[in-house]
Amino acid sequence: MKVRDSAKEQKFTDTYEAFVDEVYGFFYVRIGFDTALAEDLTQEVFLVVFRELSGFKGRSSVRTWIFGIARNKLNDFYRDRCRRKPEACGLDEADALCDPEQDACALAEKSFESDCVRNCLEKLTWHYQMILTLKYLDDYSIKQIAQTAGISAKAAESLLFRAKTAFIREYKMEER
Amino acid sequence: MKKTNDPFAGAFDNFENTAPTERQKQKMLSFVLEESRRQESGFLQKLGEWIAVKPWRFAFCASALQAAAFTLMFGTRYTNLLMSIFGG
Repeated sequence: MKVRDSAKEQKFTDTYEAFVDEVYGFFYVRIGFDTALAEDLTQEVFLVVFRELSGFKGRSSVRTWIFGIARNKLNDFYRDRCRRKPEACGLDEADALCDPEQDACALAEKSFESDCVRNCLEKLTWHYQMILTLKYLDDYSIKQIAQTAGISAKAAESLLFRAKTAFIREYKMEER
Repeated sequence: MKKTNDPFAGAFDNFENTAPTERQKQKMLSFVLEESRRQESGFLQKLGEWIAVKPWRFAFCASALQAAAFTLMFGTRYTNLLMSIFGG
């Protein structure tokens, strides 16, 4: 029994070593660069991996399997956050809305710097971070974003618009 | 596939290479192994949990098993004993 357990642990440790960097990075950039949260979610994923590893049939690659678990955990996390913390949009913020595409084109010509982008993202509210990473890191469509966040497609579209506007505003301030 | 006409598309490209430190990795590994060992229980503990979760299923299983076993052991005497207990 002990030998079997240690073999299982060894197999798990090898898998863990192979994928922990990617899984952690996957969460870290998608939940607003929060180290503690990224650690928690990574641990949850690897707990499932440990439990299910012996039953893994190999119908897909281990990487695909692990990232499937990670994606589900992330979607659960997004849904939970959206349910518990509804987005608040102040009147002054609504007044300041302009066309983000126009400003983004001007900025993109100079190319976005990743440090600057990260700083801006960190300053945005949680909902804006979520929608921008879903849209531009994961290439989700509006429909997929709406499903993930548990909101309507219209709400997702308008949230994305506001997120872009806020991002551009922060980026301009960061550049100064 | 990234949309090429969206000026935002390129802005988020360089985030993927964010790895944890060795200390973080070790901490997470220790936690996962410890937690898994705690969750992995022996046969008796699993049986106990199963009974707690599905008591009716356990009762029916136990009843069917004892009826089959005792009938095999004592034959009609066992059936008669039960009938006398229940007033038959």
